[in-house]
Amino acid sequence: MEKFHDQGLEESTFATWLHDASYKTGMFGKYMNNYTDPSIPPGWDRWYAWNGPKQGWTAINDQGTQRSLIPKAADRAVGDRALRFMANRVDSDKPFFAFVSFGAEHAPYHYDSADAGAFEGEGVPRTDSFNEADVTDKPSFVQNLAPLSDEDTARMDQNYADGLRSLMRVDRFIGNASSLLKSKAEMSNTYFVFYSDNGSHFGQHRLSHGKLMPYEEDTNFPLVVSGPGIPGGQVREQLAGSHDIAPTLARMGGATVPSFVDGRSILPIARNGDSAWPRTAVLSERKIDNIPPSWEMLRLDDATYTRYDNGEKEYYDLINDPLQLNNALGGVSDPSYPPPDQQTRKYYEQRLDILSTCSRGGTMCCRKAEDAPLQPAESSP
Amino acid sequence: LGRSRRNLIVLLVFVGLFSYLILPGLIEGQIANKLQTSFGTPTKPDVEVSSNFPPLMLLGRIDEVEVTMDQANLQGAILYNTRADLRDVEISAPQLVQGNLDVTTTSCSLNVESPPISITENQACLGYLGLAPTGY
Repeated sequence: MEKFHDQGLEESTFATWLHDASYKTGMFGKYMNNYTDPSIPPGWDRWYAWNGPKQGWTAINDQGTQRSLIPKAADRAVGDRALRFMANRVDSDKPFFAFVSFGAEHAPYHYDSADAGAFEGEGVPRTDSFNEADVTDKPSFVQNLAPLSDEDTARMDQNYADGLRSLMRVDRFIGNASSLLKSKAEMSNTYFVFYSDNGSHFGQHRLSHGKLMPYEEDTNFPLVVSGPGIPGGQVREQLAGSHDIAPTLARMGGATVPSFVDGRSILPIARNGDSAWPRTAVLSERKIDNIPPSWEMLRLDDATYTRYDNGEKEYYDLINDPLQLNNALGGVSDPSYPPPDQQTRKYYEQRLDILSTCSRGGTMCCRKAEDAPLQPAESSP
Repeated sequence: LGRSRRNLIVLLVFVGLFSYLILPGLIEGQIANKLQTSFGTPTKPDVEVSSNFPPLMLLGRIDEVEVTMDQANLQGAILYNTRADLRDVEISAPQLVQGNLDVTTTSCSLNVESPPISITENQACLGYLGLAPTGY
């Protein structure tokens, strides 16, 4: 948060872009970790943002005034204020933009007492990757993990069910917002965008509940959109990343996207799955060298290639091995899961080199790097 | 423009446990808050946690907690340059995120420069700091 603020990056965000495009903008809930600044960032007309984790989410900046907040009631307060914001503006000539960020599905999973009985008996799905029996193909930090204990498993099942209960508040908010918009005949004139900041593993590959790992549970998470021109009930398989959110919102609102933006709007493929989408890979990375070591992952349509700072590698064929049980670069030879050849591995390394550094120059080269051919030129048919 | 423009509603759900990358800050903040209440310091005491295996902090296990307070007030007495060193600390993570601090240690030592005070007995040290479990 401090770095983002100190570098002046708040001066140009999707809030300022949409504000400049005549939107009334409102921010509700979590802004960033360690947010304590009493001022309101540029571009926001309505501001209702929690403080950071160091303060325990115990206060909220309500339009510049610090107010106390009961953590258990935070999501309910956020939803209520966001609904009030929408109700006050839905009859206006100007469109509104509500950014509503909930803490649901994050420990300690606060939920309404009315939902205490919901999801009784729900637990973490017991796939083959849960408490994985054989991790000899995995990087050393996974190999060093002991199998999960019964206590670990029980705690994760409890967290999993509580997380589902906490999401009922989000579900209720969506219902209330939809009812409001329908009553004002604005539902067909409104885009909904639903996503999360990251995924989460619950016992897969023996990893106790957490995040920040280069596996599908952590890096492949939902992005759901609805609105004018977007057909319902369809799933798009094209690769999209968090960096696409801002330009997508700008496109939806008819705002101008600055030239420094690396992401691209997904609106064309949301409307029509056959729209051109030349991207062949996106980068996921973790730049804290601790446990596990820093890693960079090339996420392809049907595979992942990961390199760690300590030299270890992982490659998973997501078509034949969606649960990532067989690391083809883990030293366990299995003809069912062949590793990429040397030339392809070298090519993946080059792509990671470019993708992990391209944004620093502030040019558009990241898009070109994402759109590079899937295979090295020499091995193309 | 008017209603020809589209409304936008974005729902973002934050997922996960506390990252052990931000957990030290949370723990330091909670301990500092409690010490500030116990000792009436004008500013938050300086608290630093360290661990050789940071992910274990998610389970509430911390190798070392260091506390320094330039000036503190204990029952009317002014203490200058207080330093405490807690080893093999266990904190209830679920309690922590609820805002409650429940600390146990295998060793705790406390030294005050003026007036000279030295406490090395574990529970007495925690009690002096106001960090002993309820009931102590």
